[in-house]
Amino acid sequence: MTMTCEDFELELGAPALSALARAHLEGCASCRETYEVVALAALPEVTAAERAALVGLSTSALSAWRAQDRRRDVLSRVASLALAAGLGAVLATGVMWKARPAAVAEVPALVQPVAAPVLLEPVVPDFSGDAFNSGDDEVSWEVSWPLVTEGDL
Amino acid sequence: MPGGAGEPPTDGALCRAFLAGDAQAFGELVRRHEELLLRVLRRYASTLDETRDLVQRAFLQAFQAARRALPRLAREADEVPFKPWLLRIAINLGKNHLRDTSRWATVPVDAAEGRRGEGASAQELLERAEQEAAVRKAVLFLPRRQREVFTLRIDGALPFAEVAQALGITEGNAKTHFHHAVKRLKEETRKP
Repeated sequence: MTMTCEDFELELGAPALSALARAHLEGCASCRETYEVVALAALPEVTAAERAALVGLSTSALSAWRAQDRRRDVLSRVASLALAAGLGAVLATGVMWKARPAAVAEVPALVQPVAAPVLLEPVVPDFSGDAFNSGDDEVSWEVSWPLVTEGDL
Repeated sequence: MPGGAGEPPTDGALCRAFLAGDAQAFGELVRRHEELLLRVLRRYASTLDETRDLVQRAFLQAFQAARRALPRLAREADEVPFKPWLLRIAINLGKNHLRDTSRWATVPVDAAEGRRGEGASAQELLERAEQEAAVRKAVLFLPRRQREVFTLRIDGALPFAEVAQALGITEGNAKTHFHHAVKRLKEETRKP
């Protein structure tokens, strides 16, 4: 049974190559190149120093988690307080609005408004024409006419 | 702590136990996966301290994700996919760390030294080190999905099924990405 190059490639990264893969590797130049490239790209095994850096990680991570939780608690409390304060302000505004004094009836103005003057065109009598008699005799006649009671004793 | 005699408790059971207040379950989960995370994340960090910090952050974020998800996983039988979450978070943290620091990580010097072959000349060692640095840099420049699959497979030594689960893709898809990643790396090494 043989292995294809595709199958070989998919074995890369596995903890160890199978016997079939090793046999394929010996006879396939392209897969040897692939293997070499992946080996160059792979990081070396974890060292003792790196493992040592992980000692105590669970403890420090747990402390960080708890600190995070405390911060979240504080933030949520602050947010709750702010929300409660906002709601209180809204409620208080509503109550004050309802409890405000009734509106005062409108007081009549002491000074009546004066209507704007209407300017009329002056009526000028027509002195021209025949109807108007300005003769002295007629005027004197009207003046000389006796009153009804005149001459009574 | 859940489990007891017989089989060890599953990650999901430990996660539930911790969120119910069992601090020992937290420690057990961390110990169970810390080395896997170290292997995956050291590619993205340039110092051991950075790697450790990233590992711790990955755990904290995974527990937060579990806490958010638990109300939705109403039944006790619903498994909390803690390990896939952890790996996905780790990969994202690594990627963000790389972006924030703008540094291309190489393996710590003391770790690399231990791997060099005995009997090789200084010149050969130097050439090998240069090749390693170039290929590892090329890994970090792979397209996102290819890089994720490649690092989980090669650094994490995970089966393709677990790689796929962690990344939310199919197993076939993971294999395809791996193939393209390897092909691209081979092309990179052929360049003069």
